[in-house]
Order: sequence, then structure tokens, then C-alpha cells
Amino acid sequence: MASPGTLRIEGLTKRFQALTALEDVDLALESGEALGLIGPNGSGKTTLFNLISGVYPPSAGRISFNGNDITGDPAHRISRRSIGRTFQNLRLFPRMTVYENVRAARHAGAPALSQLWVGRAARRVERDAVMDRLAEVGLADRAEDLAAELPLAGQRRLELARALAAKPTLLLLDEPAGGMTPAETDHMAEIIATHAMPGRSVIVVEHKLDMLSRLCNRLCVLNFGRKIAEGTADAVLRNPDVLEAYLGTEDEQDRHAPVD
Amino acid sequence: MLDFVQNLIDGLMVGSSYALLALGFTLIFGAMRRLNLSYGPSIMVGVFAGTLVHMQYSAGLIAVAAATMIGSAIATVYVERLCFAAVRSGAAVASMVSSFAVWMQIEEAVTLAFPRRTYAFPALSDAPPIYVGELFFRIEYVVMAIVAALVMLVLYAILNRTRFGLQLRAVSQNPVAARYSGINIPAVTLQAFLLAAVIGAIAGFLIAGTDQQITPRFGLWATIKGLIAMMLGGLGSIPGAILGGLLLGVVEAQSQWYLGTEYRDLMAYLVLFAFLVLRPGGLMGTVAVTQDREAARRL
Repeated sequence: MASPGTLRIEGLTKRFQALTALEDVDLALESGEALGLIGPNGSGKTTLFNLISGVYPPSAGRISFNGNDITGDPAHRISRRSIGRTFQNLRLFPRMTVYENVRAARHAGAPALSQLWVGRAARRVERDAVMDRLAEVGLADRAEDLAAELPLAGQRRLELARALAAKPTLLLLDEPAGGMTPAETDHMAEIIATHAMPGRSVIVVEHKLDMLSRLCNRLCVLNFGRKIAEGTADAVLRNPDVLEAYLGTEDEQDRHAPVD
Repeated sequence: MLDFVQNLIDGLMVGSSYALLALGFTLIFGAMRRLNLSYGPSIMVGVFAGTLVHMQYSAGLIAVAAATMIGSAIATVYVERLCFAAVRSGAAVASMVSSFAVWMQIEEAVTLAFPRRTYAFPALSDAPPIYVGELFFRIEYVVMAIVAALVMLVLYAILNRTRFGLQLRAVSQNPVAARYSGINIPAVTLQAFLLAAVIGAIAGFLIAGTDQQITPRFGLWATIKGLIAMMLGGLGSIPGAILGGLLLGVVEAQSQWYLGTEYRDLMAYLVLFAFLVLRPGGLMGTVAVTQDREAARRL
């Protein structure tokens, strides 16, 4: 068996009727590596996440995780293979407390009927573990509030805590700092660097390039569903294809300059 | 005034069993956002199993209650596999329509197996009523109310204190997030159906034990009571289901006393109609209905 957290993607393609969202993408992630995934809107980043986490099966290609073929496995089984994720548009349990949101993800794999009764000692272990995750993302003091009452940055941190509670060896973060202020973004980057990355492989989708180059040693760029560049952050961000995909040609830049 | 108070007390006690039926509907609705019309008929299979055990072995109340639960659970799993698990990804209305078809199937099967139609069910109690001042309390109703209250407390503990309850609430609040948190939604759903079956069986046992007789029409009756109580309380709301059941019981008791038995059901439907027009979210209107309305507004 390969070391935990290794991901191999070969020739991955996803078509939605006439639209090809992802075409022939290869990607390799080594154990413990952090990869940044960038690309303009609609370039296939979330589709790639959805394929890895089993939202839908690919039209072609293979995904293997830790040496096992997981192509087309359903989402809850993939999650139990210890692939965790967060969502660009948050998916919390709004009317459960912050504490319960994290607790729901722990032991999710065990059969529910065996979970009707949990001993006192096991419950203390569980409580400690959940509170540790909340402390890591700075939400320990809000454990008893409803998830819906948190501000956006808090909800994103809660989603991260929930994903971490399932102890994934591969973590997919979809715009973890989306909609955050610069200060909140720095805080999030720090949490990811200290608590999410050690001991696991991570793929981060993010438009905030400062944050990405701080977290990831390698970047992969998608455009129109194809991989157009891959390498160190510096090299990728100087690649002319990437500049064109991201910023448009120089002509276009001039035209759009006043708007931005 | 005395009559009113007496009816209120009777209505609340009978309403507690309606509340249990509404809770069963609500649990299934919470897990799948779908209505199981065959919920009442599944309970009816349970009470006939109870009657069978009673007739064949002159079994005591505990054994009859156990047989009711087992019968109801088996019928519920049958309905869940056929109408819900099989069309999990299909339109919600497919489940509802097929649960109606299976309802007819179950009712026919029970009618064939029990051709006399009306069968005796053992009484919950044959003790005479207790008088408190000028008010009187039928023992069956008191037992019904106490057992129903205990069931609600246990259900509360299951939903709020156990991991199963946590998973069920997670599925009902955000199925997508639940799936990516590793929760096995099909398994949690099946268990929600089983929990609903047991709660419904307890309600069926209490009601049949008060009436002391059952017919295959019990299925229709239980589905209607449970659905009305759930709609009054608010689709998908647990406290709403309880309040809706109690309200339905009181409306029935009052209209039966003041207007006559023939107006009892009519008044229940009128109250439901008034709620649907004036307060479609029910007493404890939840997100489900408001979301639908928002979606409708956007169209």
C-alpha cells in the first residue's frame, strides 16, 4: 500500500451533456504534500473536487487514493477512506450548535444503531477531541451557539474543524478564505498551516494567490477544464499561458484596467 | 365551563396519541423530505399482529404491544425498501404515489387475511374512571397520555443525546454536508423509518386498546390523523408535531361535545383548511415551507 494521503489522477474527464467541465487531467499528490489549485471561474476546479469526493462519477479516467482505485465510489464511502473537504458555498448544519456540527462528523462511519448508547469514558474522549478541534480554529468559546449565528469567517473555520474531526489524510479545501477580509484571511492561512497541513495531504482551491504561495509548494493551473501549468508558485505565476488565462492578454488588460 | 374543561382534558389526552402519529410522519419527513402515506397502514399491520397474538395465545398486554411493534416494523421496512430506498434519487412525488399504492396493497392483504373485518383488541384497562371534583378521567386516556409523554421524552433524548439522533438531525438539516461528513444516509434513513414504526406502533396500541376493536380502516384513520396533526404543527417540526396533535385532539373533543359526533371530523378539516390558508407554515412553521414559497416567488 502507498503511504497515506497519496492521490493519483489519470486522464480524468467529466462531461455534462454538451459541456466538458474537465478534460484529460493528470495529477499526482504525494503523502503530506500541499498543492494549490488555481484557475479562472468555471475552469473545472470544483468539478475536480467533486469527482475526487464522489459527488458524481467521472466520464473517463481513474482516481486512486493510497493505491486503491476509488473511481466512482459514493461520497460517504470516500469520506470514510479519509478524504475530507470543505465547500465554497458553506454546507453546515445551521440549526445545530457549533459543537454538534463537529461531533456529527466524528464516528460518522460507524453504524448509527450501535451509537444509541455511548459510555461515559468514550463520551469524555469525544468531548475532548471535539473541543480540541474547535480550539484549533478559535471557536471553543462559541461551542454552544448555533452554527447559523456565526459570522461568515467563523462558519468557514467551523467547516474546517468539522472536516478535521473526521481525521482525513487528504483534505480538499474549496476557497477556505472566500469572502474574508485580509485579516481573516491571514488568520485562516495560519490555522491551515498549523493545524490542517501537518501529517496530511492538502489541495487548496483559492483565488488569493498570496495565501496559496504561502501554503503550497506546488501550484496547478486549470483553464477551460484542462491543466495548463504545474510547478512551483514562482514558475507558474510567470508562465505566459497562466498570465493570459488569468489576466487576459495585454490588450485586454488595458481595456479592463479602469474597471478594476 | 365545566364541560369545556372536561373536553379540554380529554382532548389533550387523546391528542397525545395523535401527536405520536405526527412525530412518526415528521421523523420520516425529516430524514427524506418525503411523505409516507403508508405510515398508517403499516401501523395497522402492527395492531392486527397484536390482535392475532391476543386471539391465538390469549397473550398479555406486553406481548400484544411487542407483536404490534414487530408487525409495524416489518411492514414499515417493506414500505421503505419499495417506495423510498428504491426511488431515493427520483422525484419526491414518486415515493408519495408509490406509498399510496402500497397502502392499497397492504389494506387488501389484511382484509383477505382477516375476513371478519372487525376484531377485538385487548383493553388497556378496565378500571372505572377516577373522579377529581366534578371532572372525571378515563383510565385508558390517562395511560395513553402518560405513555405518550414518556415516548416523547425518550425520543427527545434519542434526538439530542445520541449519535444516531445527531446524525438524523444532520441529514435533515443538510443532506449534502451529511454525506461528505461520512454519514451513511441510506442507513440513517432506514433507522428513522424503524424509529417511526415503533412510535406509531405504540400510538396504534394505545388507540386500539382504548377502542378495544380494530378494522382494516385503521390505516386510513391513522394516516389522516397523523397528517392533519403534522400540518397543523408545521411540516418537519418536532415540537410542532406534538402541538399539532394536542390541538387536533382538543378541536375534536370540543366539537364532538358542542356540535355532535357527525361534526367532529368536519371541524378538524375546517381547522386544517384555516391553517393552510392563514398560516401555511403551521404552528411552528419551519424552513421547508418558507423555502418552497421563496422558490415559488422567484419563479
